[in-house]
Amino acid sequence: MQDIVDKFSQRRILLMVILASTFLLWQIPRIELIENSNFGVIGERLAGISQIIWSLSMLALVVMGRKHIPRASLETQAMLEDELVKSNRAKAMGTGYFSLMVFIGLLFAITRFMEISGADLARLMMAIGVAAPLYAFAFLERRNA
Amino acid sequence: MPDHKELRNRLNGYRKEAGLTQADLAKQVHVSRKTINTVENGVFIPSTILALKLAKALNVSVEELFQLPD
Repeated sequence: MQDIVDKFSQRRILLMVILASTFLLWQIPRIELIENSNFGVIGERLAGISQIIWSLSMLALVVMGRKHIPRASLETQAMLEDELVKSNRAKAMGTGYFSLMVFIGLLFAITRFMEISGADLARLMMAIGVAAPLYAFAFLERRNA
Repeated sequence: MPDHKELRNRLNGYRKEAGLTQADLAKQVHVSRKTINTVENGVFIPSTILALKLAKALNVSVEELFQLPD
């Protein structure tokens, strides 16, 4: 049973990293500064591919959550959501919040030297707000493996 | 980094004394092997409920498993 728990846990870590990375690669190239640069065309393709991978990964997450895990025994389900996982999730959310605050501070400093549109600022903050907790959760789960 | 540097736990010793692997103990208390590993290494401090379950599974008191220095 621990093998199944470890397997699902490893898959969840991988999925978190994929979701975080593809979300960043989807959002960052859509920033006006990058869109209007020489990197624009490649960035657009990268964003498109990342968006597809992100969508498929989200689908995999839903399928894994609704199909495979309910099939597993209640004991396995409990192990996958035990108090260490809950603690790691809470720490990851805290890390995400802290990262976002630091990033907003950096953006404040950057906007003193260059102009960034409101839409770009919102996109950047959203990207960090989504990716940072996912990376943090994956890191904490991996560290404890 | 450990959650609480001063907390001493003797989970590893009692578990081995009972002839259990981390996976065996994890199954008995309904947590993952990782959780047992992190508790043994002092990385994660278990809840009161889990500490009581661990003590019961190993047939010792919670105070024997977890101690704060005087």
